[in-house]
Parts: sequence; C-alpha cells; structure tokens
Amino acid sequence: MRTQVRGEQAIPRQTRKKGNMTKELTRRNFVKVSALAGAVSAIGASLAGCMSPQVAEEENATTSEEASSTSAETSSGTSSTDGLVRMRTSCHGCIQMCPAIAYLKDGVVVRLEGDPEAPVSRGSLCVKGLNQLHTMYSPRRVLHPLKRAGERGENKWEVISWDQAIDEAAQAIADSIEQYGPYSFMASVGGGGAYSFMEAMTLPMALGSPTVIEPGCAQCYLPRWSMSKLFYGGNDQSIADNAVQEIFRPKEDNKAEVVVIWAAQPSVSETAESGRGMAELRSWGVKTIVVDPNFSPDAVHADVWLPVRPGTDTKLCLCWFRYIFENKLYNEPFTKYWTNLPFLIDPDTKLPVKAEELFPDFKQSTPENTPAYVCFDLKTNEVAPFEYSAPEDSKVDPEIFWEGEFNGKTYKTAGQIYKEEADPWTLEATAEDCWLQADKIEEAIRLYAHADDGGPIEHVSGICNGVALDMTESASQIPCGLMGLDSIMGYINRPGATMTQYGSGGYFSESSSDGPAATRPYTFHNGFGGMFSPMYGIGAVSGLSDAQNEAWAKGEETPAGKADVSQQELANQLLIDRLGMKDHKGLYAWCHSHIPTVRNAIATGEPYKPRVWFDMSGNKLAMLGNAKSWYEVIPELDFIICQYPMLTSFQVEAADIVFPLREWLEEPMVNMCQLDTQWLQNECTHIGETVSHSIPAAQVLKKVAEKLGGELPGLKPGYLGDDSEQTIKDGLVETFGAKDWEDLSTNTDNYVPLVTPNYFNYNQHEITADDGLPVGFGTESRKIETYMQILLRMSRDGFPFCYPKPQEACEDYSPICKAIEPAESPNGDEEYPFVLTSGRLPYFHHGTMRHAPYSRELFPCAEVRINPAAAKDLGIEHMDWVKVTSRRGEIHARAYLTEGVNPRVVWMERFWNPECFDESQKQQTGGWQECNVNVLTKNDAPFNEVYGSYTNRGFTVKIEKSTKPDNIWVEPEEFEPFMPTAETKAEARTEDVF
Amino acid sequence: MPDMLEGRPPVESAYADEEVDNGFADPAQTDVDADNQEETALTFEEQFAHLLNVISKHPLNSEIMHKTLKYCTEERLLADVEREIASFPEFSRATQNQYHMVSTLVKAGGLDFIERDEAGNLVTPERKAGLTEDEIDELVATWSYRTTELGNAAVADRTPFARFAELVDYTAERKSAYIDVLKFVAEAPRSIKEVEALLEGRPEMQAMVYGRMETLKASVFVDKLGRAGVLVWDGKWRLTQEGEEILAELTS
Repeated sequence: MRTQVRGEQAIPRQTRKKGNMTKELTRRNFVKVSALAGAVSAIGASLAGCMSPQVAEEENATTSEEASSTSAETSSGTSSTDGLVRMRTSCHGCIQMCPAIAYLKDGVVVRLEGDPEAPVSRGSLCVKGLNQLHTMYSPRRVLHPLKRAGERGENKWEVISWDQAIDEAAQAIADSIEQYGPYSFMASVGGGGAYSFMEAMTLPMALGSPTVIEPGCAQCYLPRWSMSKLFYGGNDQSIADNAVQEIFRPKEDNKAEVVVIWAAQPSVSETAESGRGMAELRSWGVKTIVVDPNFSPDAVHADVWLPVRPGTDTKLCLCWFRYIFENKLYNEPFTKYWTNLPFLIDPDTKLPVKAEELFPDFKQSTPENTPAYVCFDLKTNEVAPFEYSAPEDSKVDPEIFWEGEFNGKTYKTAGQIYKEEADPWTLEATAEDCWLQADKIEEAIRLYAHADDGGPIEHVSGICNGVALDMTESASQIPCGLMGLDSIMGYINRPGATMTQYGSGGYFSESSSDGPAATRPYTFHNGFGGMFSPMYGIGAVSGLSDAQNEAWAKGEETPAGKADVSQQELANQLLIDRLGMKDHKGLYAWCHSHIPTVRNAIATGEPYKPRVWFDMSGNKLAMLGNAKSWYEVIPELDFIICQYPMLTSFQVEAADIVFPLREWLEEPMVNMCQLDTQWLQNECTHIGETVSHSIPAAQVLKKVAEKLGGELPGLKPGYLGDDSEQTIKDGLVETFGAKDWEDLSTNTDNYVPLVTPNYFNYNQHEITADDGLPVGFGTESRKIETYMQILLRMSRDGFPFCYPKPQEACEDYSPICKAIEPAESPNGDEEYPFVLTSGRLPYFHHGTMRHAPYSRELFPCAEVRINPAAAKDLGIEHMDWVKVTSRRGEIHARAYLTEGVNPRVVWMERFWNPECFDESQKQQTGGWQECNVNVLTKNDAPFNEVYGSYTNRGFTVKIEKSTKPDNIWVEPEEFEPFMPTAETKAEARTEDVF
Repeated sequence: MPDMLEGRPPVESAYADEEVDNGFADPAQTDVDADNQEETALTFEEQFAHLLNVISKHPLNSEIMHKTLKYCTEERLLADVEREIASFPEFSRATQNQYHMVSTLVKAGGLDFIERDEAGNLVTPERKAGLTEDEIDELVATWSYRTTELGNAAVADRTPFARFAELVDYTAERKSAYIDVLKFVAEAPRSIKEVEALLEGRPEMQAMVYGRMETLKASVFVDKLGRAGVLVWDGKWRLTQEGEEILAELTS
C-alpha cells in the first residue's frame, strides 16, 4: 500500500483505515450491497441461458427495458433493480467490449449485467466485466495526480495538482528535447483492450520522435492484422480482436459449418462474446477443430483437438497444405483464378514474372494498375501471359503446380514452390515432430476440407486464430500459412467463412455522382486503415501501379485519391530512423518500434537514447518479455510519466508522475462492434480527479508547446487525441446522432445499437468494377497473394511502408509459410526439459484485475499446469508450490496437475502481484518478479523476420518443488484490503477536470 | 525493496560485433528465495558497488550526487549543502530536493550525517540516550555532512577525468569527434542542433550497434560527455571546469 505524502508531511490514506473498514463493511456484507457476488456465481447460468434459443428469442423480443429487467433478475439471482437508475453502457474488461447495463443507487454503481440486445453476447457479461465494481471502487484507485516522493521502487507518493503534474511532465519533455533532441522521447501503451493505441502512436509523432512500443503489437495481433492487409487487403482471422464476425451471425443467417480455432481460446479470452458465440455454434451442430497445446474449454468441446507442440505450428500448417495438395482437396477453380499460385516465379528475384518481361511484344488490355503475369497454360501446354479477368473470361487455363524451362531459364509456379516447401511434412513426420497423432491430424484436415461430404465448393469452413501465433519467431509465417489454407480452399468472402470483408470493404467509391460505384480496391498500409498514408504522403498504395505511386508520393491526383505531402520528409525520416526497422519492417504498419532494440538503445544510448518515457497504460514490468532486462534499464531513464487507474509494478518501480485515469464506468467512448452494431461506453459516474485516457497527453503537449516557444517539433496534425471530456462527448454525440451529451447519455435506448448498413456482403471480389473487370482484391495483382510477393519487396527497401524514401535492405522475408523450429527446442535440452507455453484465464485480461478481490479469490495466484506423469517424476503433487526456471530467471507458482497438457509441456498465465507492495508486507517488492511468466520469456534473437516478434511462448524451462514466496496472498480473507470500502463507495461524484 | 542491480556492474554499452547475443542471457537473478535470505555484512567492494548503483539510480540526479560527495569532502552545513546543490546547473532538472538526495547518500554510506551542539561538539547517540525529542532538538544546533571513506572512494574513482578516459578507451574510434565537440563547445555554449550540424556526415557517426551499422545521433556524443562530467547542460551545452581542464590537457 502506498503512502501519499503532501509536501513533506506524510498523511494517512483512506486505506489506512483498514480496521474501520473491516468493522463497517466486511467482505460478506459488501456482497449484500453490491450484488456482484450473485452475478459472479451466476456466470455459468447466465451464459448457458443465453445459449438456449428459446430464451434468446424471448429476450430479443422484449423491449430493452423489459429485457434488462428480466435479465437482471435471472442473471444475478439476487435482488431486483427497483429503485435503481439504469444506464446502458459497454464493458471494457477486454478488447471485445460487450454491451452492458449499469444500475446506480445514489450515484454509486451497484450492479452490472450484460445487455440482452447485444447480438453476440446477448445479455452475457463475464467475470472481468462484473468485477469492474471492484476496480472502480477499489481502495487502490489513483484518484489524483501523484508525484513520486521517494526513490523509484519505494512506493511513496505526493498528491499534487493537475496543473503541477502537467507542468512537471511537460518540463521534463521540453528540457529533454532541448537538451538531446526529439528522439529522446518515447511513448508506450498497453495491449488489446487498452484505450490509447492511437494516442500512443501519435504522441511521439507530435514531438518529432519515432519511438513507441507496446508489449503486444508484434507479440499480439499486429502480425496477423498486418499480414492480412498484405495478403489480400482484407480482414484477418483473429477471433479475439473482433476481426471474425461472420461466424457469429444469428442462427437464421449463420452458414458456418466447420470452424478451426487455431491458437485461440475464445471461451476464456472473450467469454461473453466470442466464447459464448462459439458455444452457441457448437450447440447448433457446427463442427470445431482446436489446435492448442492446452486442453482449453474450446478444446474440450472440439470435434478434433490437436495439442500441437508449442511453437511448431508452421510445420502442422505445412502438413495441412501437403495433404490438401496431395489429395486434391483444394478448391481448384478458386486457386487458379483468385490466388497468385499459378504465377511463374523468377528464380533470381523470387518475384512473380510480369508478362512483358517474358513477352516483350505483349500489350496488356487491363488498366496499368492491374498487371498481367505469366502462367503455364493447360489449354496450349505453353508458358503464356495471364491477364486479370473474371475466371470465365480467362484466355488461359493456368496450371497451379508446374516447373519448366522458358527461354533457357527454369521457372516454377508459386504453387509448385509451396508444394515443395510442404513436401517433407507428411502426416507421420508432422505427428512425430509436433507431438501429435497422425490420424487425428488427418481427421482434422478432412473435416476442414469437407473431404468426405462434398468438398469446398459446396461447403464452407474457416480458420480463426489467436494471439499465441504472434508470440514466437514464426509470427509472420503462420498467419501467412493459415490465410493461405483458407485461400486455396476458397473460403473467402463466403457466408460462413471467417475471412470475409464487411461493409463497403473498400470496394465502393463514394465519389461517383451516380452513387457508389464499384472500383478496384486499394490498400493503404501505414497505420490503422492506412490513415497516415494520405495524412503525410508516406507509404505506397497497393493497387496503384509504380508510376501511380510515384504520383501519389508527389501529392498528385491518382485513382486512389491524393495525399497531403507537405510533411512527407519528416514523416518519412521518422520511418527510416525508427529503432529496429532495418530488420523488421512490418512494424511500420502500426508505426511501432522494435521493443528489444528500444531496450538496447536505452541501455547503451545508441544509436540514440530514449530517455523521457510517457506510458499510457498498464504494467510494463509484467507485460514486456524478459522483465528483468527492462527493470535493469529503468535507471537509464531520465523521467517516466505514467497514466493508469491503479498503481502497478511499473508505476511503483519506475514512475515519476502518475496521471489518474477513469475506469470504464466513467469514460465515454464508442465500443468495438458486435456484428453490424456499435454501442456507447457511457459515463455512468465519475469520482476523484480522474480523466479520460486521451486527455493527459493532450494537455501535456499544449504545455510543451508553450515551453518550446509555441510550436511542437513534430508532425502536424500529430497527436490524435481529445484534450477535454466535452470534446470527447461532442464526438460521440455526432457519431450517434443525438441532440447533445445529456440526450445521448440518458436516452441511450434511442441511439444504441448504432447499426452499420449493408455490413454483410459476399463474393464482393466478383462484382464488376467501373473498369469492366471484377473488383478483385486490394493487392498489386488484384488477386489473393497466397505467395506473398510484397514481403520480398518489403525486406529489400521497406515497400510499401517506407516510401518514397526507402529503408535499408535486410535478408529476404519468406513469401510463404516455412517450417520453423522454436528458438529453444526441447529436443536434446536436458537442462531445461519442459516447453513452457502460456495463455489467458477467464478472470483476467492481460495485466488487469489483479486488484479485484473476487477474481483473486477465484484464482489467487499463479499456477503452472503440469501433466501428472511428469509431476510424479519430480515428486510434485497437486497444488504444491514449484519453481519454474528458464535461462532468463525463476518464478514460483502452484502446480496444477492435469492431463490436459503433454507430459513435456507446461502452461501458465501471466501473473503479477499487487499485494507485494501492500503496506502490510514486511519487505515490499514491486510484485513483478515473484510469479510473472515474463521473467522467464525470451526477448532476444531469433526474432520473427518481418515483425521482430520475440519468444513469449514455446521456450524451455525446468521445474522444481519449492515454497510459496512470502508476499503472495492465496487465502480469500487475505484479499480483504482490496475490497471496496464504504469510503471509496462514498467518493463524491465529481465534475470533469478538463 | 530488493534491488536486483545490487552488486552488479551498471548497465553499459554493448557495441559492435556482439551479433545476436544482446546480453540478456545473464545468469538469472530473480529468484525470490534469494531475496528472502538474511542479509550478511557487505564487503567494502560490495558497499562501493551499492553506492555507485544508488548514485546512478536516477540519471537526472546522478551528477548532482557525484558533485555533492566531492563538495562534502570537508564537513558542510546542511544549509550550505542545499545552497551548493541549488547552484549546480543540473539541479534545474533534478527529480528530488537537496535534502532527499543527501539523505539518500547518507543511507548508501557515501555521506556521514553529523549533529553538533552550540559548542561544536558532536551529538552522539550516547548523548541522546534518555532524552526526549524536544530535548534532542534543544541540544542539536547544527546539521552537517561529510563524505565518508566510501564516498571519497567514489569521488576518486568517478572523477570526470577517469570517466572521460574510460569513455575514450571504450570507443577509441570516436576520440576525435569527442575532442571536436569539446572544442566546439569551448568556443561558445551550443545547442543540440549546433552539435548535430558539427557532426553531420562524420565517419565517427557510423557505428556497429548489435551487429547493425547505424548512424548515431549527435545526442549520443553529448550524452556520453555529459555522463562523464565533461559537458553540462545549462540552457545550452557547455564545458564543466573539469571539461575545460581535460580539453586544455588534450590540446596542449
């Protein structure tokens, strides 16, 4: 527990009155007033109830008021909502942000439940959302700006005014810029679900710095997200990040038949939305295949479970390719005409050969931004130009697998190259290498390919995936492979397929005077939605020819529009100078730096030293790989500014200033979508001097500008974040079409859900565009680039991101999925014989909720899942404390014995322990080294070639019997100090600070 | 709070040809069992390493602490120490007040805290025994500080001369650039942009960093010279007194 100090005078905090609190409001009588416990205990019933079609239909048929009343009574199982004020809002306990309803009594939120109108979560709310009552009213909330009063790590704080906090933060930044230049600044943010992605990305831009990191990013979602844009210009296969929507359509519209859940566990990660949705799919008879080393709840219910050896997914993926190719299970017409696999590849450049290269007299009939390539034509048995057209209009019948000579040079098709890469991965070889059973692999493939029930043209499947894929060296290769599988099966833009594109999907130009017209799609790559491409004139556009991209970079009119190039030089230089970009150019997609390279730059000062750090969310010591390596460089940082609703290990160990943030019951914003609907995250209440997430940086930047003479040294517009609550609310009023904020926040029923019209479309690529050709895809070839030729260009000069001024070349990136053995292979590792992988639990999202006492009661401390056979050899029994050791460090956890993991695999969740810096501890610690799996993770090479992802999963460890670390709480009553108190619940409702 | 840096060399540059090993594979030192072990008496070398670690704990205060140790080689009154620290150019960016910094040095064994009565006699714990807080307040007339043997060792070991020599030894290929920066700053205090203009395009700016040829920013040079106690920021970069002496020696 921290001591807050005002000036030199130590003052007691409200939490020091623990004795009073325990008399006035014990854990059990808090239950009576909060209704949370009822909700927690009723989670299973609540979710199961929603899976009943009858119940669901009834719920959907009622008005929202009636529905919420009904739901309130059934889901909580405790009191009614009589006399409570009801407000519709959205949860923010994870990235999926399920619609929710808050009930208030005297301004205090006393009850939460899911919103039954939400089309996928349908009234569900998981334990993370329900426990918002504990985080919102936690005695550990930071309600006022704090300045460190002791040394870093001492956990002593002084409450200061907002004016002072902003001034001191701004002074530190301005001083550093004047002293060392803008590159001395860096920003960071938390993982998916954190609020400040855009703000963290653009804050350094505003200051003229290229440095921003996020513990996720290359280790969480960026590779899958970015690869899909490069692959076909469309949505990725992530189930956790709301990319996959199609399979969750209501039953009457739902065409899903087989869903492959590869390296994801929606039942645990996003329980109320995609977890519940998957359960519903299964109840409708949809078949599922789960690829996961851990026997997750989704694996339990799967038709086929493949417990793959951690980190060997590329091999299993290639095995699927091999089997599908060998048994001709692929969708041949789709592969021939909608993928680039029939293209001949130049053995020297590795790039697809353009028609004019082999046929000098060839004149393409298609527009200049739709090039013609070369194939082996089965009609003529000759190498021939392959022009883009509708399949039925094609002049050639392209062979997918071919190798032969033309003009004295040996060419292969891209399909042939893929086939050869996959060739070693027979069922048997894969089973042996990946610790699987060959017959189970075969069963899974045949189910996915509809090998025994009519094939992929008549039926549909789809792969969805999760974060585990991003956490190894194969972070780019595996999404390349998994999207490749769906592409050769033709499971694209089809009802029931996971790879669909929503809304206009980039196919329709709004500029036509005759209304929207279908056009050739273009993909902008820099930033979310490619927003920085037109904003700063950086980044080439997929779908424009080389000449058109040159015009784009000059700010000239092009078919894809026109860019503002007024700040192109600075924007381009920031790309070139970003740390780690020479080798891992895929990070440009989110404008992020390579985390280990940033760490090294802080440590060594070279090639430049980030020294003032503005962290916008979370616990960096719990979430960054190899936490110790980061702890070691904290003394190298001049000033660390943090913002968060709580103090975590990182603030305790590192922060100089902490800005207090709103919790989700306080912060207005628009949530992620569920199907075609969007929802309001409402300002249900507000306590203390907390502010919305975008505001501290916006206010600091204004002050920095003052101190630097009126101008910031970076890009304009730089920071994309609002500087006041009113501005945020005004934006929401506009989005939802309300009269004003009062109208929107109180008459929310009139404005939510906000429905996106024409959201679901299918076979869009076949529509005839304004150039007379099928619309196609947003790639150079206008086809799905299963052979990802753009990765080769990227490795050589940074294309399409670092453009027009190129980046230095590095080793070529692989354009196809390649087999990768994990950096720390268990094969032959006698010292560290187990492979550790990790995942989420339903009680926590990333680093959140560790202060929530009921979550901690349900899952009090780190556990390591060990197979009983392995445990027996080590003399370890269920719930024994063990020490888990990697080559980076040691942590402790309780052994959870289960046959749900391979005897050579162990599984953990990330954990950190805020109780370690509770004032009751004899020897306080930062709480990040006791049980945190990131003490063990590996953040050095080999990295993923495209994105620089390091090894968070699939590395080797050893296990020994041990004892519980002193500071760790495990018994329910130990978490009493984390319980909301009468005082915190009585915090005055406050006005906006800004 | 357990300090994992304790007893370890400070984080330092890792240059050139280290290829894929970025140094993260050090022997693990995160075992909390080890943290829970009883403390044993530290050797002088261990205490010395601890003091250097405390001094380097916060870079904005580090040079101030060095200078404070040097200033207190003879006994100084608290008020004088506070005034002296306030006069340091680095103090404008310090994250702690003077009292906190000297208290940190006392705790780390670099300074002795000395209490005297009106007659100038030491107020020892024995003299305080049995007195109330008010009586102690009455007894103590002055508070002062003097650098300990450990602190003097740190002063001697970490002089700007020693740190500059270490810097040049470590990156000999940059020596001419360092000297040119010193000369440039000796002519007139300089902004970072002026130093950037001075160094632009020079071969010393090219360096292998973790196996990659990188172009260093000019801030690398002022940072390292600043950390050596040779340059100081005072609205612009200028030489410290020791910096002037070093430059004179180099150019004589």
